[in-house]
Amino acid sequence: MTVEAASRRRLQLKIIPWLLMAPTMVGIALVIGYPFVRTIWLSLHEGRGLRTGAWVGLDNYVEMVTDGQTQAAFVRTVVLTAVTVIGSMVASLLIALVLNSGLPGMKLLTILVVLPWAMPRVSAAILWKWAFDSQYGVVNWLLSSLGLGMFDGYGWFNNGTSALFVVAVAIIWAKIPFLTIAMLAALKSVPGDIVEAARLDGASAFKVLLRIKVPVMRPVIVVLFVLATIQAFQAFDHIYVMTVPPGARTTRPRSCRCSRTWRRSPSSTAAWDRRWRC
Amino acid sequence: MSEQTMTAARTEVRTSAVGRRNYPGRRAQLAKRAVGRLLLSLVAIAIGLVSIFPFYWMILTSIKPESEIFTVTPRFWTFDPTLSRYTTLLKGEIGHQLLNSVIIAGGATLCSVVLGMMAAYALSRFAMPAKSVIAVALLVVQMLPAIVVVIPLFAAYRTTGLLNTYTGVIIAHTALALALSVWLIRGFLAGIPKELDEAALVDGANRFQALVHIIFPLALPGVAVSAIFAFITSWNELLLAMTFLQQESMKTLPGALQQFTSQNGTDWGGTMTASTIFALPVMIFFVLIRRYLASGAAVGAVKG
Repeated sequence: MTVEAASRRRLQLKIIPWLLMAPTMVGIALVIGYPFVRTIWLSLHEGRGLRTGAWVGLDNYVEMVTDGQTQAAFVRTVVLTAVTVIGSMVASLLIALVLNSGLPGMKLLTILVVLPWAMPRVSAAILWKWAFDSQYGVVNWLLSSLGLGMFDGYGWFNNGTSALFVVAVAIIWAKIPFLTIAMLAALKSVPGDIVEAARLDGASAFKVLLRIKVPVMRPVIVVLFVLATIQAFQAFDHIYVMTVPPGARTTRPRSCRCSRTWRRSPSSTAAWDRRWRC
Repeated sequence: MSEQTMTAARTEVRTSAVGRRNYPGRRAQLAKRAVGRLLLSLVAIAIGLVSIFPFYWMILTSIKPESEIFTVTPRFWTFDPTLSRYTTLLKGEIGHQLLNSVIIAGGATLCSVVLGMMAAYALSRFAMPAKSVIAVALLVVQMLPAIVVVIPLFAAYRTTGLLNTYTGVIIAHTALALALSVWLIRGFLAGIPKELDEAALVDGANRFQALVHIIFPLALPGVAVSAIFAFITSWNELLLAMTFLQQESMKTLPGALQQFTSQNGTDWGGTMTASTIFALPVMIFFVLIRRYLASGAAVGAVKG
């Protein structure tokens, strides 16, 4: 190889990765970067429809932070995120353990667990709302036929806490297919001989889970945890679909308040999001 | 411990191993295990029922006659199935809306997988300055919700004429899914030895050929996972699609489903029929790539 060819090759090695990265970086910069900066800019102005008003500095932020409703929405977002992330992670780990137990029929059950992923998220939300309906809901019917008379005609959406619970159930249900498949795959990577050795030494199933399986699965669990948290913070459609018409405002956390304030003035939304999101 | 007791202990172990079938307490242990299996089976059945119930209810409602949909005692079966909702719906706009959704989700999936593959290859195979900064920046981008960008993007689309076009929404959805695709695929590429591309280069392939013919087939499980992710993200995305596609003929899945809900209430049968129609393509998509699913999720997540 001549000196010239070698230096050309070195140059190539420098340029090629940037060429490969370019479409992604340009795309993200244009579609997310620019609007994001623009949103921050708008948030520092008074908003009138889609026109930018006068410069107001941090006024929108001050308004947001001191607004009681906004504060409450922020608290609800944090609570809902914590409940759905922890709930869905624990549930999918348990389901994955059952799927990995080697009982007959587990292949079929895996399919049943994954299938709901195909369902449009909006329809699943609508169905959960229906299932928890006070009059025609399956849940109230089931609970009252199990002898819990207090649930006969119980209005789940009438108070904030139970409405938040229903939304959490729907969100957790929607998250389970992906998380379970990932957890199951991770479980299968736990070496069988270590587990067997531990069992022979008298470790209980619970101890094996806690001391062997979970540590081996840790990298997967961490990645899934980060992903689930990010997505939970962005939960929009479930809450939007399930709580919109009859004014059950108390369940709406951050993302939905944004969409409402947005109609009033874009800049306050911007301020909002900037404040809590980033 | 003396030599003698050791030998005795060893003999004991051996005899217990030989006589395992009848040692005392065996019956109790077997019974305990049977109870355990029974409980586990019950839990498994419960899991299956809860996860499939909404899905089943959706299909059931779509073929129930109107009078059976709203009953105080839920009916879990119908003896009088009707396909009339499907025939009316299929005569209307739904075919068009389904096509819109397929074009947009398919386009966004293709774009984010191809671009994600290229970027991930660059990040995993070349010495780039600020590599980890770029990777983390991508993750931060992933954290921004669509609502942060929707207003300026709407204004930009209006001036560039991208409102009510497939291209506009495909671009937006690609950007939403791209960062995650890069991360997922990068995790998979990390598991493929660098020596493979070097061997291909020595044999006279160029970088592009190495990527397409050697690395892509090996990374297929990771590509499948990120393809599903991109597809589902775009398929379900409500806010951007509803904001950018305002013409009736351009509506996608979420818009199509919303038309059944009005101030006067919800047309449950219609909603569920449309949902079933919209669930079908995704199920087909799953069947097509199911082989890569479980294996893919593990490796990608571990390395990511």
